[in-house]
This record gives sequence, structure tokens and C-alpha cells, in this order.
Amino acid sequence: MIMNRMRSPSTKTGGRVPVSRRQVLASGAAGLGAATLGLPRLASAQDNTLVFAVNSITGNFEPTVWNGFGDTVITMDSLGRGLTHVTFQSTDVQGAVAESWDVSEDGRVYTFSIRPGMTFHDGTDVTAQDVFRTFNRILDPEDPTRPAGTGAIDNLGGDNLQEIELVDDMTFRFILRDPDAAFAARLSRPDMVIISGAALDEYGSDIGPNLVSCGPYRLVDATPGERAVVEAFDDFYLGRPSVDRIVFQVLPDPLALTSALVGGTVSMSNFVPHSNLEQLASSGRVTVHEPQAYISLFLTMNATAGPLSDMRVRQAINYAVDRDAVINEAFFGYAYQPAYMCTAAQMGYDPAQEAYSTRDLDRARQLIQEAGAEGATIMMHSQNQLFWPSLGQVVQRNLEDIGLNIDTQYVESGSFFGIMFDKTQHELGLWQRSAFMPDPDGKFSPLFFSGTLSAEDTTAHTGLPTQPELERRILEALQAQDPEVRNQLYIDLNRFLAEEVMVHAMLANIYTPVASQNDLSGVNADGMGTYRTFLETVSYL
Amino acid sequence: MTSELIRRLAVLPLLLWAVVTLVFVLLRILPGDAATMLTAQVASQEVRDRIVIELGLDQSLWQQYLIYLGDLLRLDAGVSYISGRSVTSLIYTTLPVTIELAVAAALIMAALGLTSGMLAAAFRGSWIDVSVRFVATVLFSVPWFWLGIVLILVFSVQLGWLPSFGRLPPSVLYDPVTNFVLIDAIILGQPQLIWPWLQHLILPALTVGLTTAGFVTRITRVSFLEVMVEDFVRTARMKGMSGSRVFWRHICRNAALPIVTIVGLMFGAMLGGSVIAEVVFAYPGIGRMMVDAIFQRDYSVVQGAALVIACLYILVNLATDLSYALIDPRLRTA
Amino acid sequence: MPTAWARIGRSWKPFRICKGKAAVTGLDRAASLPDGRAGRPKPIGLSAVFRHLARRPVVALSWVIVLAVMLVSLLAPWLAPFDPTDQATTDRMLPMGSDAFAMGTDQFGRDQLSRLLWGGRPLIVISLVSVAIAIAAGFVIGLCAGYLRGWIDMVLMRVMDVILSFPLILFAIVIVAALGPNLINVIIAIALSQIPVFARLVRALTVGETAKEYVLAGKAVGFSTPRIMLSEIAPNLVGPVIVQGTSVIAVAALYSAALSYLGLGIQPPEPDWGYMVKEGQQLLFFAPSLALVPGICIAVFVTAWNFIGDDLRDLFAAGGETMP
Repeated sequence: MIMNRMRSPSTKTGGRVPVSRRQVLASGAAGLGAATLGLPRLASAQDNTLVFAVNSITGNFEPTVWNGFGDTVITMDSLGRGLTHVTFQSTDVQGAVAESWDVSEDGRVYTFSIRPGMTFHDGTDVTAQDVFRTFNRILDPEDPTRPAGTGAIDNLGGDNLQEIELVDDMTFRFILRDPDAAFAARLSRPDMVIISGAALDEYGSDIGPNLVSCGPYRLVDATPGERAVVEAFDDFYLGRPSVDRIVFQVLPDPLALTSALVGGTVSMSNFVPHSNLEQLASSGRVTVHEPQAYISLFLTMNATAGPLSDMRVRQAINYAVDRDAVINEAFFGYAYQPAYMCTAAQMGYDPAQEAYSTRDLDRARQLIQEAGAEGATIMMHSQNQLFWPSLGQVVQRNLEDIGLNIDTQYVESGSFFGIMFDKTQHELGLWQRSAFMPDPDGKFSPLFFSGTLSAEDTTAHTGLPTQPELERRILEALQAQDPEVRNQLYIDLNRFLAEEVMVHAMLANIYTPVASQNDLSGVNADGMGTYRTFLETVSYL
Repeated sequence: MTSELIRRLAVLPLLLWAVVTLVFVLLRILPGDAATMLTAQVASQEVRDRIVIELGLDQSLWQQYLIYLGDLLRLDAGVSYISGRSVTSLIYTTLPVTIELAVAAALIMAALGLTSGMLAAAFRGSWIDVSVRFVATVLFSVPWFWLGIVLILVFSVQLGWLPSFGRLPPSVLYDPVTNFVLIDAIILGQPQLIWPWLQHLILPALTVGLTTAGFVTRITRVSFLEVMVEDFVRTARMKGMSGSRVFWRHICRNAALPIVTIVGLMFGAMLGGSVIAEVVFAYPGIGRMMVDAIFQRDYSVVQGAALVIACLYILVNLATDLSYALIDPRLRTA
Repeated sequence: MPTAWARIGRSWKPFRICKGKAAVTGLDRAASLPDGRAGRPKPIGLSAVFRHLARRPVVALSWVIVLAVMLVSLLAPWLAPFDPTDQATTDRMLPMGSDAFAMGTDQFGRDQLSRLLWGGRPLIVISLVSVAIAIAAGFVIGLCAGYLRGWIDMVLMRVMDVILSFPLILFAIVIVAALGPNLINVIIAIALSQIPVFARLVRALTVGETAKEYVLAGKAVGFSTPRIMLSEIAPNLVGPVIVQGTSVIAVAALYSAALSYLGLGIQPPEPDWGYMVKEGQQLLFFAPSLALVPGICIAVFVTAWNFIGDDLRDLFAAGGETMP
């Protein structure tokens, strides 16, 4: 972890908005201070309950269908475990439901030994049969428990997964078409949790509201739009978690969330707006964590759209963005300077590549001149909540500095996705790619391969002459088995993308800010920074 | 009156059908649909195509419309693709919340509005009258979301008296039966639910109630003033009736009509119109659910919620109109 | 001390309706002569206006505020010390009362004073234009429905009912979400949601007027239908419609701010009071003025409009006879 935490010294401390004591007091923190002083120990601490604020709960815990971060990731990480597990404090893949596994010589066959003695929340034993049923329902169109609208197969490598095999009661096998060095890490994703076969028998494909898995907490109750309640599972394989009960409370309003954290009615959250972090930290009651960043924030460029089809324009745009301004103004200093697509916490990161994401106004202007794109009007789309509007305003300003006219539209997420997946409707777009598994392939295959929505419709670069070489490199990096070799291959891949393709301009490496009450220990902020919410290590002091 | 009632009720299904169709069409104009939302995190085109088919979004608009209408007639409002719950169960959970909020807000609005209106009428021309009218006008000119923020700032942050979000504290276990907290507290014998519920209800109800109280103040004042100068009031006084009796027997009954109109209209409007308060305070009502569903392209939920809100709104207006007959016998036609 | 209601009961004496004092009634009536002929409102001299306003300081102040806000918004390009979208990143997050920035700056270093001066424009434009459209459309619809009656009336009014059977704020949200968030669509959404208000009013008034003698006279003489509708009836409706219009402008302003707050209105970095409240919410602890001041501006503007509307209502309700 220490080795991976590489940060550029320029941005972090220098960019933070200086908040003097006078300012904090003057702005009413005196009131906040009064509220926090002399309060008895939190009610929730007294009955060993954690209140975790999220931005949505739909109450549908179907792991293989996307229902928003609140359900599909944050609560899921407490409810279920998959074959493997990654803590994000390190990127090593550990066994969870699987005790161990081995990979064949050619890297195509993964054989997992199921951990003996594990049970599900309904008391039944965890066997390879349950593992089979979990994966069969997303692979086999004829499976009666198949959920509608599932796209999870893509996260296992799509058609690369040829066959699954129930070897015996405690052994399970995956057979791939081509080797996939990220495969074991993929199985740690929240949509790969193992579901109880008995529960599938009972609920069929509507297992969502009644998920039964083998995670540290069992589902008690969920009210759509309000909250989900889970309680500790005694027979969790790592031991019963310390906190008895967790309430995932929907609290999208940033003001209410901040005041609830300071007032103590919410124990923890990873949805705190960056603008309030400084103030939370100085309240004396809340710890603001600064985890590693796994999320890449970038500007997508539609390679088939007008001036953007010229590589020089795309490079100019990349040189025009002021990453320091992005980090300071949109994230209030709580973000990191990017290199290219891989963050410092991941394989494939080379700090020298920060040069690809450094502002060079002269170079940018010169490229625009060469391409004859002075004064060109370009559309940019962004979402309209959280930090996106702030980010959009910084980027717009930066691009206008090199002589481009930027026409920005801030839309709500439904419209945003609709627009970004239609290459005739957008040109520039602001987006992010988080890492539900730390393996870098998660940022390459789904974004750059032909046939994927991003590659065909968002950046629309599959027609470029670089495409075959790009695909070759991605596959090579994915299929190599040796981690050192892979690391170098991903570094080279990043360089190739930055120098030859350039359909993404990296803006920052970010994390979702984690704030927790001071009386909590064992908070895994690195995971929470990329939405993975592992709460079994948390306890009250 | 009965014929009026029957006529209005007969038109109701037609109006509802029109509302449903309008919402249906408007939703389809929005770019992006359920499949887009689901595949935002997914890579390949083939998976997306499959999802589109599974959700029935590949059929023509007309087909989808007819299927939806057919289901509605069989009382099947569809399923929320996001939560997997049936729309009826979602409405069953959220509608009582909005009703609670609307009732609380209406009570605050009526209490404030009526008393201040009567005060203004009683002390007409004095500084009381002028300041009441001034405050009333200011109150309904304030943007609702801004008032909500100010209330949170004052009562939650600075004073720490009241919570700023949700319907119940996270630590309270509530197993709803009817989804009305007051009723459930009685049925289930859990009186400890009531106080936290009230604490959470005050701020949103105040936000809505304060901003609408001004209308009631005005109409109350005007209405009372009009009636006060009527001849029959003078007659009653000359007959020797005391001030209080005159007030209750004659003035109130006659002044009530326009006041009831406004209160009824406002209550109906609150049923869906308190959406802003629901958003600011994260209050889990039907208005907020509908707005979230619009953003998430959860068509069935939006259509179901729109239908229910419109239905209630029309019924409340109808009830208001019919209550005239109760108040004013002259309006009772055969 | 007599209770308030006892006091109300006792005060049966009719109030003196002296010149200039608003009449007790609040009902809207078109200016018409006692025998039912159409009357034109009496020509009003400028001195009469001043006398009227002099007795009502609040209304006078409201007019001043409204005109000042409009003037300032119009002249914002010349009055504002800085470009409202200029992100001067070296002067970020300055509190109110700093040297060059009287109202402080936000997280991008934009001068708040300039943004406040410019921020009223979308609000004013949206509320005025959307109400103008709503009045125009509502007038036509209501006039046709009220005069022509029959199935035209039924169809038009039922369509209006459909729109009215829905809380208007939700209606506006759905429309803007469907069409996309920009100035024009917000205007369309608010206009559409307010058309039924005017249509209903105009229809009710038209039905009332149609029964009057001057209309019958016009028919007898052989005036064509459009002529009757436009030159005889319509002018009598102008008064109440304008009164209604002022309160609808206030509502439209609030809706426009609410839509901005939900992210469905004017897009950043354009300055807009409603959006400034939303943006300022993030920084509420650092700089509460960023969220509070724009809200106060909206409230002041809308309040002023409402006072003006009240005054106009009182004037027209008095039928013009009580004008000084």
C-alpha cells in the first residue's frame, strides 16, 4: 500500500482552499460546535448500530442487474461474498468462498476449491452446487432463475467464458476460450456474490428483494427510497462482525448529509460532497479519510465528430486542461494528479506519464492552429449533480483559453447515458471509470474493444487505423500471466493510448470521499473510495 | 347536486386516461430509457440488445401503450424495473407519507391562515392588519426550497433541535401495516414511534405550510370583511345577539365558502406539489418517488404515480365543490 | 379585552368607501356600466397615479423594487464590475466585504455581486414571456370556448382540465425533463402549465359578458362573430386578466427558480438566482451568503410583484368608479 501511494507533491497541500479558524467560526461552525460539544455518546453507538448514508436504495438486491451504487455495490458488499475477495488496501486477490484455486498451464482453466464449513444466511451449507447455480443463471438463457435485464456476463469476459463445470461437491471449474489474467479478480466484484441455491428455489428469478448470500451481514428489511437494514451474521467465515446492525440510509441532499454527520445521526458515508470535507474535518467529531484513488476521471472525445476527428485537436484539448484547477476547484484539493488511465494504486502506473496530463497552453494553441480549428464550436455534455457542474465549468474555461467555443449541457443521468451512447448526439463528454476490481483490465477492455458501447458510441474510435494494434495490446496485457510483465505491458498500453489514440483526456484520479465518526475504527477507506464498502472490519472504540 | 356528482365522477376515468396517455408520451420523448440506465455499467452491444428485448422496449410505441392500458384495466400497474417491486406496492408505501405531509402542512396552513386572517379582519386598518397582510404576502413569495434550506440551517444545524432528513430516525424499527405512522402506532401498540415521527415531520410540514398560509390569510380576511358588512349581520346585532354568537352563527358560515375553496385547492395541490419539500428533506413521499423515477426512466412508476396523484387531486377538488352544498343550503339543488 | 371574533361580530357597520381606499370586495369584475353596456375604463391622469401611490407606500415601494430589478438586470453588462462567468482562480472563496469583491466570490473566483446583478435576467425573462404566452393562448382558448360554446367549449375545457388535474410543478418538471433544460423549454413548460388558468378565467368572464345587452345588440346589428369577440367582449376582459397575470408572474418566477434548483433550468455557468441557491448549498458552511442572498433576491422580487398584483386587483374590483 505504501509503495502504491504515489502522489505528486504539487497538488495536494498547495491546492486546498485555505480556511482560517476565523472563517470557519464566522460561517456558523460555532453553531455546529455547540451542537457537538457535550453531547452524550451517540444513540447508534450505544446500541452498536452503524448508520451509513447512501444516495439511493431501491430495495432490489439482485446482484447481476445494475440498480445504482446504493444497492448493487454498497449494500451488496455487506450482504454477499464471491469466490474471491480484494480489500483494495492491497490489490492481492484473496480467497473468500473459494479456499484456493489453481490455473492450468495455458491459463484457460480455473479450478476452485470451495471453503468447507461456510454457511449461507439461511443456514444451508455453501457448496459448489450453489456456485454452479449462481453462475448458470447469468450464462444460460434457459435457466429458470435468470433475472431480467442482466448484463453481468460481460463483467466475466463476455463470450470468453465458454463453460462452467461442477466437478464435485466442493470443486468448481471455469473454462475460458483465451487466458484472462484478471479472471480471479473479476470474481471479487459485487455482482459475483454466491447466492444460496435453496433461496433460488424459493424465490426464483425474483431473488432481488430477498437476497440470501454468505456475507458478513444478512438482510433484515429494505424500503425503496428510504433505507436498508442488515444485521450481523453469526456464522460468517471470518467471524461475527463487531457491529451488530447497519442501516443504509438514503440521504442524497448534501446539506442534510453534512449536518447529520456533524450532529452524529449518521455514522459514515462515502457520498460527502468535496466542498464540505474541510469543514467536516475541523468539526472535531468526524474523520475525513484520504484513501488511494482508483477512479479515473476523464473527458471523452468522439473521434467521429467534426473537429474532434483530427488527432491534433484531441491532443490540443488534452494539453489545454489545467489539472490543478480541476483538483482545486471541483474537488477542493481532494483528488490526485493523473498519469493516464491507470491510477497510482493500480498496476500499469508510471509517474513519468503525468507528462501526458500536464497543461501546455502553447503547444495546445499551436496544434489548434495547425489543425485550423480556431474558433470551432464543440458540444460538451455532463451530468448535473455532485461535482460534475463544477468540473464542467473548469474544463469549459480551460478549453476556451485555446480558442475553442464550448457549448455545455448539464443533464440528469438518464438523459446523459442516452446521449453518451449515441454517437450522433455528443462530442465531448465528462465521465469516470471506477474500479470494482483493481485489475487494470477493467479500464481497457470495456472501453476500447470493438463491440463495446463505449468504443462504438462514446469515443467511436473503432474505425481508427490504430484499432487493431490497440486490441492486440489489450489482449496481450490481459493474457500475460506474470505480474511484472503485465505491469510493463499496461504501462506501454497507456503510452500507446496517449500518443497514438488519444480519445480520453485524463482529468484527475479521484475517490469518493469517506467521512466517519471519530469513535469508529477499522474503516477500509481505500475500498470505500471506489464504492466497495467492506464493513466487517469496523468497530466502535 | 347528485347529478352534478355523477357527471363529475363519470368524467373522471376519461381525465385519468388522458393524464396517463400524456405522461406516457412525454416519457418516451426523454432521451435514454430503462435499457440505457441498466447498461450504463455494461459493455457490449449484444447484451444491451438483449436487455432491451427482455424489458419489452423493442416493441413499437403503440404496442407498449396498448399493453400498458390492458394491464391497467386488470389493475396491474406494472413493475419498477429498478427495485423489482410492483408499482402498486411502491405507491402503497409512499402515498401515505405524502398524505401525512399534506395533512400536517394543511393543518399548519389553516391554523396560521385562519387566525391571522381573522385577526386582520377584526383589527382592520390597524397596524396588526397591515403587518399580517405584509407577512402573509412575503411568505408566499418566498421560494419553497430556499425556505427549506433556511429551516434546516436554523433548526438542524445551528440549534440542533430537529432532524433534517427522512421520516423516522435510522435507529427506529418500523414494520408498517397501513404505512400511516399514527395509525400503525396505535394498531401495533408502539407509541414510541410517534414522537420521532413528529420531529421529522415538522420541518417539511412547516416549509409547505408557511409558504401556503398566506393565501388562506388573504382569503379569510377578505371573506370575513365582506360578510361583516352584510345586512343580515346588522340585523342580528340589532336583535341583540352578542358578538360571539353573531360571529359563529352568521359570519363564519357565510364566510366559509371561499375559504373552504382555497383550503381544498391547496390541499389538493400539496398532494403532488410538495415535491420540492420532499426533495430537500429527503422525505420519502410519492412526489419525490415520481421525480426520481423520471430521472431513472422508470416508466411504470412515473405513470402509476401520475395516475394516482391526478386521481386524488380531482377527487379532492370534487369533495371541495361538494362541501359547498353542506355549508350553504342555497347551493343544494335537487 | 374582547376576543377577536366577538369584535368581528360586533363591527357590522359598513366601512366608508372613500376615494382611494380599496373596496372591501375582492371579487373581480370587468369594468362595465350599471346598465350593462360596455364601459371603457376612465382615462387616468398621471397625477392620479401619483396620488394613488402616495397613499400606499408599500405598493409604491414594490413598483420601485420591480422596476429597479428590471432596470438593473437590463443594465447588468454596464453595472457589473466583473464578467459574471469570469473564473479568476486566484481570488476564490473570498468572504463578503473583501476589497474588490463586495459580495465575495465563489469556489471559482467569480464575483458574486456581478452574478447577482446578472442573475435576475433568466427569472424575469422566463416569468414575463411565459405568462405573456399563457395569456395569449389562454385568452384565445377561453374566448372561443366561452362565446362559441357547444362542442368547442367542451373539448377545449376538457383539455384544460387534463392539464389542471395535475399539480402544476410536476407538470413543469416532466415537460422540461422531456424537452431538455434550457431557457426556451422552461418558458414552454411554465407557459403550458399556466394556460388553463387564464383559459378558465377568460371563459367564465366571456360567458358572463355574452349575456349582456351590448353583445345582443351587436348580434342584432349583424356584426360578425370575430368582430364581436374581439372588439366588443375582449376589451372588457383585459382588466381581470391583467390582475390574474400579475399573480401568475409571481408563480412563474417561483416555478422557474424551483426548476433551476432541481437542475432543470438555466445551465451553468450562466448566472441565475435559482441555480445560485443550488450551487451555494454546497458551500453553505463556508459562505452562507452564496445560497442565502440569491434566495432573498427572488423573494423580494416576487413579493413586490404580489403587492403590485394586490393593488391592481383592488383597483379593478372597485370597477373604476373609485379612482381618484
